[in-house]
Order: sequence, then structure tokens, then C-alpha cells
Amino acid sequence: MSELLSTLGTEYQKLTDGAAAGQTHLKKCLEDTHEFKINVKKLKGYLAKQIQEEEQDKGHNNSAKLVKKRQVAIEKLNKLHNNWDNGVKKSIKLATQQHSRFQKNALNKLYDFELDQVYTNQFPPNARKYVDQAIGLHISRYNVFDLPEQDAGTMVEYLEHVYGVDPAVSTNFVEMAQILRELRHDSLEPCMAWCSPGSDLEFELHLLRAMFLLQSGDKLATYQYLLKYIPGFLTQTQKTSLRHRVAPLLAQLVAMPKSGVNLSEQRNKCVDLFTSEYCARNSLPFNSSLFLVVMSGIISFQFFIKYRTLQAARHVDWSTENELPFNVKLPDFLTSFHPVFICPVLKEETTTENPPYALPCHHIISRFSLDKLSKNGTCNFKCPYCPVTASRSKTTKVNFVIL
Amino acid sequence: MSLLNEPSVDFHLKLNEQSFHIPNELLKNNVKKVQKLVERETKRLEVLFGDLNAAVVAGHDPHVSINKLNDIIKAVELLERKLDKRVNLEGELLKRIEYRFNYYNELEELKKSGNREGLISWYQVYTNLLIGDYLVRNNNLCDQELARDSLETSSRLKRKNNSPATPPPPVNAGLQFLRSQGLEHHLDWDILVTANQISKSLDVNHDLTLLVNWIKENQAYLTSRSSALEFETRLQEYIELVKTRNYPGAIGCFQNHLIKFINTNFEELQLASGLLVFIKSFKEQVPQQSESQNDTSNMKTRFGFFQYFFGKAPPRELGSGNGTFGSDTRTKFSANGEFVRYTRVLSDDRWNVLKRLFLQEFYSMYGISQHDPLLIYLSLGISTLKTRSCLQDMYSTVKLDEDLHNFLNNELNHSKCPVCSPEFAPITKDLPYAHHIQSNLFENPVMLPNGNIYDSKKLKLLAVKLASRKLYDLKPDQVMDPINQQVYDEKDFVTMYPT
Repeated sequence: MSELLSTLGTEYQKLTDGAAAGQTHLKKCLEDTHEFKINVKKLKGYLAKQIQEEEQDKGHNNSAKLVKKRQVAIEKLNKLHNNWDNGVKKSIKLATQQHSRFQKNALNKLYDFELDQVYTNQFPPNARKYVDQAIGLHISRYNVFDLPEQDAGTMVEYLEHVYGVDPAVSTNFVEMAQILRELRHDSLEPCMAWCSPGSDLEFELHLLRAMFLLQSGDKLATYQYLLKYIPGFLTQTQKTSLRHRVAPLLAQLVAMPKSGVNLSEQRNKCVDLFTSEYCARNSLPFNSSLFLVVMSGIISFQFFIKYRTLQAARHVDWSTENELPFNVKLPDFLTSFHPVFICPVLKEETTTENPPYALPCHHIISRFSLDKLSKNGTCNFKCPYCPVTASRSKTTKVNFVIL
Repeated sequence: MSLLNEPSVDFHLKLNEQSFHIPNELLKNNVKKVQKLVERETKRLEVLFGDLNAAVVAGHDPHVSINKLNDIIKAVELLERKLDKRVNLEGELLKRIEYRFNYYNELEELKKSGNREGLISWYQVYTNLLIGDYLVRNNNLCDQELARDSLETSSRLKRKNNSPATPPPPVNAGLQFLRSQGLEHHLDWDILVTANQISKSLDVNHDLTLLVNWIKENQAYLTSRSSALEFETRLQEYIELVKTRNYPGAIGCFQNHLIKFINTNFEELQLASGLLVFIKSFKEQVPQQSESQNDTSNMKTRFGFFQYFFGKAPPRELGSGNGTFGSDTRTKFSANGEFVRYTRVLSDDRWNVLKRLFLQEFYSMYGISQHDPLLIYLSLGISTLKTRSCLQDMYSTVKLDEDLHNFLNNELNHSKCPVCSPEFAPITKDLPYAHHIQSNLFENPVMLPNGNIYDSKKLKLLAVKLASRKLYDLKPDQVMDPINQQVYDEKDFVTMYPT
């Protein structure tokens, strides 16, 4: 377990259980005060009764005794007051100490750097306009179905009014939001009507419906439903491997269901499948650009911090103006957009000024290295990787494209 | 241990130190307030008990002691009610820490169990938090709503009801967003909303009331930092009074609030008192205004300058009036430094300076980053993603058939690049490129006769898809280059050996 996290957890526990389990010092302070109030009220009642008795007893010679009783009560009251006073003040002192301790033991360990330190490439003020657009797209993509509005028109209006989302952007996602909302409320028809026949989505939706039937306890209906849709689907699409997915469901028809069906898992599967198909069909990005950029920002953050620390300690500077001084390894889903080709001769990334060229032997080098090797095209040269001789006239400019 | 090359849980915690720091600061603040409250109330109770004891000893009518007791009970009840509020606040603040701890605990669990999908959803939440923070800080909705709801009453109510202890009305877009995501406990939006409200009241309404209140409350902190905020605020108050020609008010403000800065800000105070003289002289000389209006030689004297200057534009629009002068007169101004000093003092730009100064003090008080965290993440993220091929329109696609074009475009990965997306492309130009030490290509590279290199398997798969969707009639063993939509034979493939 992460060390800081566990420290934070234990220190937090100490904070909440300051005076006793589940009781902070302040809470104790409040409870003491409450108790004090009740006791004072009780004593007041007692005194009032005494005084009443005293008045009734007028003429009798008991008054000395009564005065004494009253004095005892007052003494008791004073004692209560002192106890409470000390207790409350002590609780507050302890509470103050507790928070300083939390600061010292947990928070000071968390403090390492300021976010602002790495913000060297700041955006100009007019960048906000574009950031707002990106947020609008992000909210439309992920959060439309959380809106309080139901109707397509008012949904778009709500987004425009509250978050300033361009209606042209949000409209694209309205249908998706409506179908998803239905799907989450277990109404499959809109999604079924939307999906293309023979798609994986259709199959998963059939399974989901069968699970609903099974859950309602109607085994016969479940069986009939599966029989009606699944074999036809499998023969039509020839996705026979999918039949393994039906088997556990059929087994549950026969045996008493022990574990039950995992409805929410299947529903989430349908939601994910539908979302990705919807985005693909409407040429919308599956991940919002904002999310992808933030994700890469999170991953690279530690490298920026590390570099910043190094820079401060050794007074080094960036070697290349327009390039980051370090390499950040990103996960696949963030690197599959553009190909990167490092020229094996120059060990530099190819650019538009220095594009890659294919030699007759099908090896690839950058134009600058080609110029160097061929002495600006004046002579033949040997490929740096194989014995084949090449001349510049026999090379082709190439272009890597990722599909 | 790391699924996406993401940082460790420890690093995440360090990155979000503020989300634990702020609640603890608020908790400390709460305890301090309780301490003050209890100190005050226990003193009062001591006096009451003293009275009670005195009454008993003196043997007064016992009803007097009962009355005293009633007073005591009332005082204790009042204290109890106030304490109850504080304890509730404490509970709410502790909950915040708990929510956040649980959130990072979830990250720990996801990392431990290797749940990639879960991790990505966790980062979706993280992104939403950054968006919420950005929206709360840059909210514009609140003011619009308030202004629309009740123009006159709101300003009156604001002064009375918006004492900083009561939470502000929840009409902030960021807050709505956080609530819709169930994330309102993960961000100390109340702090950010206060900052937003005060800075907006400076920026948009040129109103100092909220800021003055805030300064009063945090006097101790500001003094400890020897901040210039109070001085600048009071100076602004004074300047505004001078601008609206409320001279008694201005002098009162000077005497009450500014004079104590005489040792630290002597020069500015000198300037400020001078302002009073010059504005007044200007007023006296108004009748001469027309004849001296174009007389630039008069500008050499201070009186002439102000006469000229204020005759041209009403005091409030001095900043804009300044811009209308020709460049030659402007050089004359700057030649005489005194005038520039006064124009600067009277300029509306001071509001902006004041706002920045306030936000700086406010954010450092809570240890919040000065810049919007979302922008910081975006700046780092874009640079890390930006390749040399980004923002290059090197693929001139021919648009023949709309459906075909859309389909092919969707198949080409570079069309999904976030850096090249219409939202981000305009702001990524000036950011540095990522640094690569390794080629990032694909399997089975083959070159088509036009020089484009593809993954041969994927190119063939694309041909199958085109045929099955009936988008294009391809013969077997034929493929289409998705960039220029030319059809090639598979036998034209040239296997490449990129190293």
C-alpha cells in the first residue's frame, strides 16, 4: 500500500476519533455543554421546589435547614460549572493540537511542490475560448444523460445556458443520451431499434433481455426468447463463437440459479458497446480530446516535476527550444495517432523539412542523411544497413500512415 | 504495477496536496472560532455565576437566584446552539477529507488489481474534477443570474445577508457540474466561489464592499505576509471617492484608513493627496476649459494638464479617454513623468491589478495554485502528445463521395489526434513538441506506389470493410489508399524495413 495514503488514513482516523471513537474534541465539547445545561436545569428545578416548600413552610422553624439545602445545591452548581469550564477549555486545546498534528504528520509529507512551478508554457488569455469549447465537447460526450432535462431541445438549451456549449456540438450527442438513459432504466427498445442487425451490440442486447426475463422468474419465456433470436443470429452472422456466451444462461434455466445473473455487468457492456458504435457511426471521437490531453498531462506531470528539480539544482537549460527535454512514455491509446520515425542515421525525428526517404533496398532514412551520404546527390552511396548501392535519383519520399 | 505508465498513488497525493490542506485549514479556522466563542461565553457565565453566588451569600430573595439561573441556562443554550453549528461544519469538513481519501484509496485498489478499465474511469472522474475546478473559478453565470433576478434588491441584500459565514447562493456553473457528477465533496468549491465572487465584484461591478469585508476578516494573515492588498484597496476606495467628487468622503477615507500607511507608502500617499488638489483645481477652472482645450503648451503645468484632460472625458472614463490622444501629445505626457503618474492612478486598469493582487493573496492563503490546474494539465499534456506530424495538413484528401470520405477519415488514426482537433489546434501552435527516442510505427509496413506506407494487414481489412459496407467496389486482391482514394493491387505492395 502506498505509504502516504496509509499515513493519511491513520492520521485521519485520529482526527475523527479525537476524544473517543467517532467523537471529535469539538463534539465532546458540545456534548459536555449539553449535559451541563441539563444538570443546571435539574438543579434549577430542585431549587424552585425548595423555594416553594420554604414558602409553604412559613412560620415553621425549618428555614435554617432549607437554607442549608439551598447552599448545598448552589455549591454543587458551582462545582458543575467549574468542571464544565475546565473540560470545555481542555477539549478546545486538544482539538487545536490535533489539527497541528494532522498537519505535521500527514500533510507536510504530502507537500512537495507547487503546481505552478511546471507551468512554463502558459496559454495566452484568448486560449480560454478554445478550452471552453473543449469542455463543451467533453460535457456533451460524457455527461448529457446526467442532465435534469429530458427533452432533446431543452437538453441542448440547458447545456448552452449553463455551460455555454455550442448547440452544434451538443446536438450530436442528444440521441445517444436519450438511448442511454432508456438503457440505464432497463428499457431496451430504443437501443434495439438503433443498433445495426447482426452487430455485437444486438447480440449483447438479446442476452440482456433474456437476463431480465430470467430474473423475473419466467424460465419458459427466457427459453422461448433465446430460441427465437439466438440461433438465427448465429447462423446469419456466423459468429458461432458467441454461442459460448449463451451457455451459462441456458444452464441457469435448468439448474437452480445460485449466483444469479450479473445484470449490471451486462448492462454496462451494452452501454459501452452502444457508445462506441454510436460515436463511430456519427464520426464522433470516442474519447473527448480534453480527456486524452488531461490524461497525458497526468502521466507526464512527474517528468516535468523531476526536470524542474534537476534544472533548479544544476542550472541546466532546455537543449532544444521547441522540444521537451525528456521523453515520456504514453500508453497505446495516446500514441496511436501519428507515426513517429527516428532516422537511424541522424537519430533524429523526421519532420516536414526532413522527411523520410526509401532507398532501393527498402530501408528508410531521412532526407538530411540522404543528402549527406550522397553528397547532395552527386554520387552513389552504400545503404548504411545493407550492401546495396543507392543513388538519390532512385529514392522515394515516403509517408507513414497509421490505420 | 503501472498500467498506463501513470504515476504512483503517492505522486497523485502530492499532486493534490491542496485537497487535504484546504479542509484542514478550514477545520483549524473552525476550532479557532469555537475557541473565541467559548472564551467569550465562559467569561460571561463566570460573571453570571459570580452574581448568583453573591445573591445567595447575601441572602436575597431566593427568586433572584432563580432568575439568575434562568439567565445562565439561556446563555448555555445559546452557546450550545452555536457549538452545534460549528460541530456540523466540522463534520462536513471531515467528510471532505474522507471522500478524498476514499477516492485515492480506490486508485490504489484499481492499480493493485490491474483493472485497466476501472483506472480509465477513475481518470475520467479526475478530469471532471479539473473541469469543475475550472468552471467554478471562471464562472460567469452567477453574476448574470443575480443581475437578472433583482438588480436593486440584490445589491442591498448582498451587503446585509452575504456575510461570509453564510454560503453563497448555488448558481455557479461549476458547482452545478460538480453536483451533477456527485463530486461536490471532492473540491473545496466554497473557497473558489468566494474568490470568484469577490474578484468578479471588483472586475465587473467595481465594488469594493466584499473585498473590504474579506480584508477585515483576514487582517492577521495579510499583516503577516506584509501584503499591499489593504493599502491598495483603501487607495482605490479613496480614488473612487475622488472620482465621484465626494471630497469629504475621500478625506475621511484618507484619515481613517490610509494615514496608517504613511511610513510604508509615503510616495503613493503624497500622490493621493495631490490628486485631491488637482481634481479640485480642475473643477474650479472648468469655465476656461474651452479655450485651453487645444492648447498643448498649457500641458506643461499640472493644472493645465488636468484641465485639458478632465475637460475632455468625464473622470470615470479616463482610461479610455487617454487612448484618444495623438501619439505626439502622449510623448509630452511621458516627458513629464508627473502626469503619467496621475493618469495611472486614475486608470480603470487599477481594478484589474487589484483583482490579481487579491487572487494572489487569496490563493496563497489556502495554498491553492495561482493558475487554473486544468490549464496546467492541458499545457503539459499537449506538449507530451504533440508530434512533428501534428497540425500538418499533409494528407490532401479528395472528397468525392461524402459517406466514403467520412468512413475513410474515421479509419485514419490521425483524424482522432486530440492535438489536431479543432478545439485544441489553435492553442497548441506555440507549445513545444514531445521528445521521442524511439520510432513509433506499426507492424507489416508496406509501401504503395504513391509512397504511402501502411500496415498491410490493416489495409487489407479496410478493403474488406469497404466491400461489406458497399461503399466501394473493389476486386479481390485490391486495396484502396484511404488518403488519395486510389485503388492498388496487392502485388504492388513493397515490404519496407524501417529500422
